[in-house]
Amino acid sequence: MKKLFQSIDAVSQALKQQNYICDRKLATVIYLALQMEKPLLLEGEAGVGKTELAKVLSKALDRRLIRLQCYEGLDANTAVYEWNYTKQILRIKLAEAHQQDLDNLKNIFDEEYLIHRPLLEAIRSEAHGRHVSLLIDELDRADEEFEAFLLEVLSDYQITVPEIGTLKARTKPLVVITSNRTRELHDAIKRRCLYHWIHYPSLEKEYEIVTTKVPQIEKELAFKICSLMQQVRQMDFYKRPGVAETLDWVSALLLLNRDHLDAETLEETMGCLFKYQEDVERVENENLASSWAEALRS
Amino acid sequence: MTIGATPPAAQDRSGDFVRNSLLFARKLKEKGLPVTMGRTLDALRGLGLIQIENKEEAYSLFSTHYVSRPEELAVFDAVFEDFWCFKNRREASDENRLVQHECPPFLTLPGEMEPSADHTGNQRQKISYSSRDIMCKKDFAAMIEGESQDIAQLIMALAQDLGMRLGRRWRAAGKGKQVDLRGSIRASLRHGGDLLALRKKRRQPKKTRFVVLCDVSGSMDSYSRFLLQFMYGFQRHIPRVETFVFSTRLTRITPLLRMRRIDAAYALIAESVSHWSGGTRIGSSLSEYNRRYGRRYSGPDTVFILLSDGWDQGEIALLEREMKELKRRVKRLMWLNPLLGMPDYQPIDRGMRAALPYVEDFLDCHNLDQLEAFGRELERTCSP
Repeated sequence: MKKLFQSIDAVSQALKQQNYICDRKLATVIYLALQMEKPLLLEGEAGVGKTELAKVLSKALDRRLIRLQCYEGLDANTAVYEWNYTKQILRIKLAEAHQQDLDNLKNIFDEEYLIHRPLLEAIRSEAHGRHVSLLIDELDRADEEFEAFLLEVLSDYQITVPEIGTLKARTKPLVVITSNRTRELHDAIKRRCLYHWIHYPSLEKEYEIVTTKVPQIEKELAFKICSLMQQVRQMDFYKRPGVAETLDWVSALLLLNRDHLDAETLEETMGCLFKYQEDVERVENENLASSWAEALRS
Repeated sequence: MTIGATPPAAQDRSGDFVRNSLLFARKLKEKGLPVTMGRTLDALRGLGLIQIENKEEAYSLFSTHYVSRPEELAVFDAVFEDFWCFKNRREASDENRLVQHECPPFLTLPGEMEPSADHTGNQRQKISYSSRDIMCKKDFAAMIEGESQDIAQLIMALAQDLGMRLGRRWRAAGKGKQVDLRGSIRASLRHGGDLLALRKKRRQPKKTRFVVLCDVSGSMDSYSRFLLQFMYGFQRHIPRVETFVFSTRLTRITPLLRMRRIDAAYALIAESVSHWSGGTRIGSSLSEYNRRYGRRYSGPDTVFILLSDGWDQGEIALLEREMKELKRRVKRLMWLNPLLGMPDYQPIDRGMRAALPYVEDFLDCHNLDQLEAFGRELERTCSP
């Protein structure tokens, strides 16, 4: 029996058990996606937990996660299916050697000669009674043409192989698509999905995330870190740090045994928060570390 | 479709709520959100799955169906708060209760039976051929109120046409390096499964990206309106376009131009570009581009298009340095200058003179004909 959440509260609780803190809005959208059997399209800045959500969801639902990482030049042969050419050639040679007549020769364009790539795998696993969820990660990195291959999967949960026909999923897999928005996805994709933009977390939510994920951290320090992060995200950096960066930073501080945030500590660990030379330079030039430390003390 | 045909999931709910939802959808559509009948039906289907009295759940249900880009969130939030009146409810005691609206007895679903409107939100009219010819030659700066509507249509048509032609040109075919096993096997069946010849394929060439930087300083005022229209169309119909405007500072407007309706885009731009009609500092604007965005958007596959009259009030040495840097990073650097349409114009002011050595195409853009010529030039640049 396929596991499903009974209510929106059940979604939040199940995710919380997996150490993923989500607000009611997101929980509602997840619940709707599962109930309405629609793909979920998550957008948001880098490091707000889009990919993490897909992983956690499939754990909570006890499903196998099939992941398709998108990149420029990704094509149907890598993402959907490929013919097993070696097997096909061997089959022909074998038939030749045994001098089989035509009636006995099996069609070499048959499903047993197909190599399942992630999309087909997701559709076919379901047909074999194993429930899966499919993560299509960073779709904005793939070329626009690639989106066209997804349309059939997303709306009808089926894939058409010209030589065979249409392969359909018996039960629909949960599909999660993430995008960092380096470019706009096609409307046709968006139309088929439920959309959710994941914001940077509020102070309260980030505090909850930090103390859940890194329970060893001192409460007061965690609170200071989170309020500083709120302030940093207000500023105009080239790449603003996400929750992932906060968690890295917290772990770094623990490793270094720092229990308070002075200017020196901030300077030493800025590498956890800023990944671009321009941003690091700005922190140095404007002497932000000491002014932040000053602000935290008061 | 009238209210009588309510989707089954919503039937057990109060009919008023369905009606209100439709009214709400219509309000969103008026504000430029991509409301379609399909999305509305889906949203109504979802009504049965949530507690409609809960504000956050109702918010999620509607936003997940009607919002598809973050820029639309602010518009959605405003309409949502306003329509369901969470702030100033009168009678109900529960903070999160939705307020019901009075609404007309017959409603059509948004997206249905509405007269088709063009991108400016106005009814489409046919423009006669003769007036089109005149219009194409007329200087944008000399346009009067009524004409600018027509010209907007023509500009959109031009951008769409250009988008189609660029799209066609990019598909390359021929012999490649990679073996096309699938094709080879198929071909081999003809000879009894012996691989006589390997079929080859090759990856499509890397596609051209575009960056448009448009001068919106005071001296460009009579042109920037039309050029903005052009940029809207350009970005809408051509993939991989990034758009910026500058005067004394630089603002990236790519996400703002993605709004489905141009007036919604204009409203957003007016809100977020404070330096419109300001002075001109091309050098420092380019420097800001190179520093902040260059790594991401400039590259050997980028065509860079600068729209400006070249009147620079900034430091000339800086302009020259940044032009040089830009030239080094992009595939091609084009400069469109509306003043080239003036018969006696010479690019002799300091800024223009400093920049010209780095510009590969110096083109006019003062009327439609010239924009079209620019399109042809672009097509030549992009063909493999």
